[in-house]
Amino acid sequence: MEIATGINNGVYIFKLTGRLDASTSAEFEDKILDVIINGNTDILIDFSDLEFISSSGLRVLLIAAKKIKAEDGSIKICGIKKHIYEVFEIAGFTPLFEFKETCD
Amino acid sequence: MKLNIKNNVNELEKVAAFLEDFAGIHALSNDVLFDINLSVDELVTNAINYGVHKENDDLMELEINQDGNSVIVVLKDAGVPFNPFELPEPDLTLPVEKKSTGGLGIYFVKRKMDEWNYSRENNYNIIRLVKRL
Repeated sequence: MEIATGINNGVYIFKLTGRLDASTSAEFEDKILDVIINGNTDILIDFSDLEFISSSGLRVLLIAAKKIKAEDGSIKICGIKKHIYEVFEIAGFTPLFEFKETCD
Repeated sequence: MKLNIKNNVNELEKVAAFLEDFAGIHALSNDVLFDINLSVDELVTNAINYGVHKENDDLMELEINQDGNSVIVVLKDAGVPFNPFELPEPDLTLPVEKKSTGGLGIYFVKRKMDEWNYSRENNYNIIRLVKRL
C-alpha cells in the first residue's frame, strides 16, 4: 500500500492507495500516530484509491480515532468506496469518523 | 484451484491475487470477490496471529471452486484444534473509548458468507465457506 501525505489549510492529509490489511497497517499506524502526537488534530484520509480493508485496518483507524478524540480532534474520510463503507457499517465504525463524498 | 499459504502476512497479497484470478475465470462480480477476499483474509490473518507456526512455515491450504450457483472455499490447516466460530461476537454498540476490533474478522465472515462451518478431520482444522451467487 502507498501512503502519501500533505498539509492543506492546517489539515493533515493522508492518501492511501491499495490495501489496508495485516501486512500494511503497521506502517500506517506508525505514521498516523506520529502525526497526532505532533499536535495535528485535524486529519483527512483520502480513501478514493483504497481497494480493500480488513479488521487489521479498522484496528489502526480505531487506535487513531481514540487518540485524536483525547486531543479534541477529528478524523475525516473522503472518497470511500461502497465496499469499504459497508465494512465500516457492519463493524459499527461509521459514528467514529466524518465522511465526505469528494476529496476536494 | 488450490493455493498453499505460508505463515507470513506478506502472503495476503498473494491470496488476494489468487482470488482475483479465480473471480476473473468464473466471471464473479466485484461484490462477491470482495466478500470472499475479506472473509479469507480475516481467517488467514487470524491463523497467522494466533497460531504457533514458525514464520514462513506452511500455514494453510486454500481451495476454491464453483459448484453451480455457489462458490465453495475450504481452508485447511494442521494446527492445534481451534474453531474460530466459537468465539463470542463483538459488541458493536460500544462507544469509541471502549470499542475494540477483537472478533471482528470472524463477524465479517459470518455476515458476508451464506454458509460457514468448522470441522476437525484427520488432525486438520477445516473451515468451509459457501457464497451463493
